[in-house]
Amino acid sequence: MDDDVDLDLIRAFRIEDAAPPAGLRERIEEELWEVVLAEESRVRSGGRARAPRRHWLSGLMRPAIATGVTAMLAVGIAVMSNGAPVDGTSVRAGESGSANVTTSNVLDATATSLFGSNAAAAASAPPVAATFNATEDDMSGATAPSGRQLPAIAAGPGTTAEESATLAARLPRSPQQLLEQLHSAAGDIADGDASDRVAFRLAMRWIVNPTVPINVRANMLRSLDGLAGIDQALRGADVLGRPGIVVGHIDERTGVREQYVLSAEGGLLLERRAFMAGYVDPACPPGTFTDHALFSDGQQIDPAQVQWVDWPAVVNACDPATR
Amino acid sequence: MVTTTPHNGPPGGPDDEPTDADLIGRSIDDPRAFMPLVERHHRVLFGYLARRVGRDIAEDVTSETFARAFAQRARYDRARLDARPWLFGIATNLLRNHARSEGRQLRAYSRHGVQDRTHDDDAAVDARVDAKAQSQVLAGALEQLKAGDREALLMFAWNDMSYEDIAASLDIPVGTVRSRLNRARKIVKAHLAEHGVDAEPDLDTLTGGGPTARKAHHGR
Repeated sequence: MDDDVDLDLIRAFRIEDAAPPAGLRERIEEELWEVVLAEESRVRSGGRARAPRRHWLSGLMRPAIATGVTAMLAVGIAVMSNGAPVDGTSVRAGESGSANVTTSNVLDATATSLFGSNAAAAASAPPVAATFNATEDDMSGATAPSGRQLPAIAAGPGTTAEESATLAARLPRSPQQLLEQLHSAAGDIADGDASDRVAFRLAMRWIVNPTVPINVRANMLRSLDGLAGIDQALRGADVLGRPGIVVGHIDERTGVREQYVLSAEGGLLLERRAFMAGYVDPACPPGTFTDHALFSDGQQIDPAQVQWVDWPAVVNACDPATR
Repeated sequence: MVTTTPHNGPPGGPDDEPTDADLIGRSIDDPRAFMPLVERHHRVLFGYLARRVGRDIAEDVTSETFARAFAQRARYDRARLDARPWLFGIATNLLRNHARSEGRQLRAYSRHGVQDRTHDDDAAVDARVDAKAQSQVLAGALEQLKAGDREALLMFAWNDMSYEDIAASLDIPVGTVRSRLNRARKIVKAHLAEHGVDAEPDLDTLTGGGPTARKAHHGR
């Protein structure tokens, strides 16, 4: 007998069973995310954690909030809310969100903790376009340079809850998988640093759209944590003082920081703002706003009609992208 | 002796990916850092488990292995760059809860042979009959082995693991691995000879001719 015939036979034994089934990795990662989030939940609630740890989602918030607040102060915005100034105490970075994440489906529960319990109301609100300008945002019919149709994540959500749910079902649930798809799709549209900004905007189209299932929006929000230039704050506020989650991205090339404020109740878009956060162009000093919009119930509102808000910022007076 | 090629080379080079040990270390403070380990190791882990206890149980055990590993990551010895032996150790412990399933399956295979799902044509019928007969005999041999001997032998044969890695996985000395392998192989060879299996197996038939078929010759 050949010396290794036993090993050769063993190597061939049941080898047809060895190939993993489709989607196994995603399922494992999804379950692992639940474990990860459950651990973080225990940490937040002062459970069995050995030492206090920063929540990974809130860990990136401090610089963003600090920059946002500084920028507002720099342009001399005097924001009044019911006659009272919104001071720094209304925007505390690093605070965790709800600690009541104890259900078996931690992903969905965390979506609730991220966006509050008003998901149903959010879903019935009109869709909000996460646009900064039409040219850059209108990617729904775009094709990659190679001629391939853009993947679902780049095509964006639909306009109805049913349509968006169908489209969202094509996306992975794991934030890491979502981020990989965002990177891939953005890489087909833009190169280098610009692709990070495209990835951010692709994700924001899902995140701010209330027709998208709330767990998908929450997972998408979490996926941004791994994107270069991202800042997030679980406890922020818009210029009207409305509390919410702030998610932003800085474009190192132009020095422009884009930020979105999402309501704590349902994750509705409250404010979209873009301002200079770096000394890239002397004509556009830090703090100069390049874009700003306020929303209520999914509809854009005219700041001029909000009588109790003094809004001296001159938007679009400076556009570093065109200089 | 077989030496495994570590999944990760030594750290330090500019193009090096982080080692498993790096990732596990980072994951203490940043749990997300643990995720790439799934991509790196789930295939080989699932393959090993599926061949031992079937695909359904293997899915659950693979998933549970990563969950346990995550929970135990603070205790990981980061001097070990490759986490595979550690993961296999966890999986092996979990698998002991399914020892009966493995025994039942081996008994079933020894009676009926491994179901060939790779060929539907008639061309290889004779070869398939031979392969089925061989798999029946082999299943009978594996069933005879003590659990510890079988674990060492299957890790060695299916995963190309070194004696050292098997020892780390099973938490036993390297010398014990050596003796378990010798004992297991003697029993299997004797069983095969007793049933007239002394020819080279037709691996193409057994595996569908895929690239996974290998005639590796390990030193002893």
